[in-house]
Amino acid sequence: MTLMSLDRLTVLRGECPVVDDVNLTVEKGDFIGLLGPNGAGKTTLMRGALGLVKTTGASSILDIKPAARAHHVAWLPQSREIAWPIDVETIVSLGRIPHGSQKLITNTDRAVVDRAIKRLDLTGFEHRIATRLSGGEQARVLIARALAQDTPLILADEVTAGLDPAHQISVMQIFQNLAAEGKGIVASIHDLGLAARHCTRLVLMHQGKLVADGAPTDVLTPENVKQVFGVESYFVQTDHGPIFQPVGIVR
Amino acid sequence: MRYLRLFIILCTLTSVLFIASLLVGPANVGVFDSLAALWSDDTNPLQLVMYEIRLPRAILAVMAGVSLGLSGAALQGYLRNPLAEPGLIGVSSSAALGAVIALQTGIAAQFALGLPLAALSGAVVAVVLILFLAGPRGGSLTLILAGIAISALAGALTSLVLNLSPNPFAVSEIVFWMMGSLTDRSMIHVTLALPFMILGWVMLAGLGRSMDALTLGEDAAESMGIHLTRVRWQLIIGVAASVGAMTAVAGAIGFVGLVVPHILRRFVGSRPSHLLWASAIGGAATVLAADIAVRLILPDRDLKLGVVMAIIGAPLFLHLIYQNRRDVV
Repeated sequence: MTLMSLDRLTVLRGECPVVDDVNLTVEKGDFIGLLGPNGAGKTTLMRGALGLVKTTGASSILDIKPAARAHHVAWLPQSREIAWPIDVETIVSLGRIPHGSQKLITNTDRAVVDRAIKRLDLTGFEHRIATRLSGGEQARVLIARALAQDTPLILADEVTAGLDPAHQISVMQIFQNLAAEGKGIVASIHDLGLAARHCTRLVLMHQGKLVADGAPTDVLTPENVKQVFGVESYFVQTDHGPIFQPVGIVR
Repeated sequence: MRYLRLFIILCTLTSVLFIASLLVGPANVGVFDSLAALWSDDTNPLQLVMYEIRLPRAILAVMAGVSLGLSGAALQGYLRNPLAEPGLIGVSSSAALGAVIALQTGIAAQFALGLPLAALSGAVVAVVLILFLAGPRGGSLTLILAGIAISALAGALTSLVLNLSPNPFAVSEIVFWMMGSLTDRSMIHVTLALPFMILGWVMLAGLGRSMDALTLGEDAAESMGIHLTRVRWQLIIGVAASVGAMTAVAGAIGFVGLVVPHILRRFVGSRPSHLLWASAIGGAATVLAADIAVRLILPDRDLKLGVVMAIIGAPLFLHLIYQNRRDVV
């Protein structure tokens, strides 16, 4: 089942297209790694798809009535903003806002919030003040918040940035599992190795255009990586799974 | 309900202060005599004092406190900044300017709603300007600077209007509009301001969910189904209606919206939606207390309510700026 389809989506900043004529579909079970150098248009593509910036072309999310969109897709922005010193459990339960009044938290709400907290390894942190946690811990709290929204589709921007290796892997595994359970995930990622190992599909963007879309081995070809990122790379299949490593700058 | 205890404490405190407010005044009457007069049918001077002087004063204190506390909490929630406050960002002084213009041009005398409507218009201009200049991404510095500029301009224009006024008492009126006071108010003032305030309160009270969602930033809030344009207008109308109406009858009273949310934030787990109702009740208690203090400290000198609030509030404001700077570094 298709969770999101973008048809010739374009976002203009002034005259210049930041996202240029992108076609993309996200199916149930997809864990898509959105790749591309800084300024390739990854964030803008996702914000455009969500209707947070003005676009031309079509995004299936915009066909859903605004009030119902929050039931279909959750969005994890790159800026990890927590404005007030609120405890972790309350922050996570903010994800239940689209599901009705937050004042009367239902048993379903409770269960979903608890599951999200467990999934992100935040048990024991429930009553800690979120703003006093480390950056990586805050990132996990916000991921749990997005999971608590309990949507079939999750868009996440630079979600593993600033996490330690163990938590990077665990976040990728959580997304992998969610996709295996039938959700769709789109996550922009700078760590190509992490993306190659965990994503079911990779989408490569360059200067606002979508230049490759497919399995990791088809997308992270030496030519693509050289052309888009300007680096030489090393990509092998091993007993430990695929290993991708950029090895040098192209002169 | 987790915050039931806080709710009961705040309500009890407000009720006690309300009754205390009825009992304080230059007419030296006993506690029971004064309260009994409120329920007696015969017309005597004591009943007149209670109904015409003390009761409107206490009611206005509650109304002003609710308006200021609620507006402060809502502005802080929307701007995600603990320094936002209707007095500091120039909403009160702009409302006062509107009120003074209405009074001096005679609009207020021509039709009754002229005064509150003019004050409300002044407040709308200030809130729109603040949201335009400092927006949620503007940061504390822009907010404070924009607030200083708007307050200064509105204050100067108010003084100018009163300066040019042929009314010999105009100069003393400047003090009232700049500082605010609940002295010598009547039931007419209550009925004039109340409809606008209720409109404002309803608008602001409905913002709880949006304020909670905005904790995670505008993008996240919008993706959770919060209609940001609607939130912005609800805030503008809510703050302008409640603070505008408040200022039209009591002058510009500052710092309530800063002090009250600051004190209560820790008791509601910093949650913006809970802070709204807590600040509304807490604001009422604070203004009642300050208005009692005004009468007790210097009973025969007409100490201005705004002066007392500023003496309490300004040091806290300095402390918050210091804390804010430390958090940024």
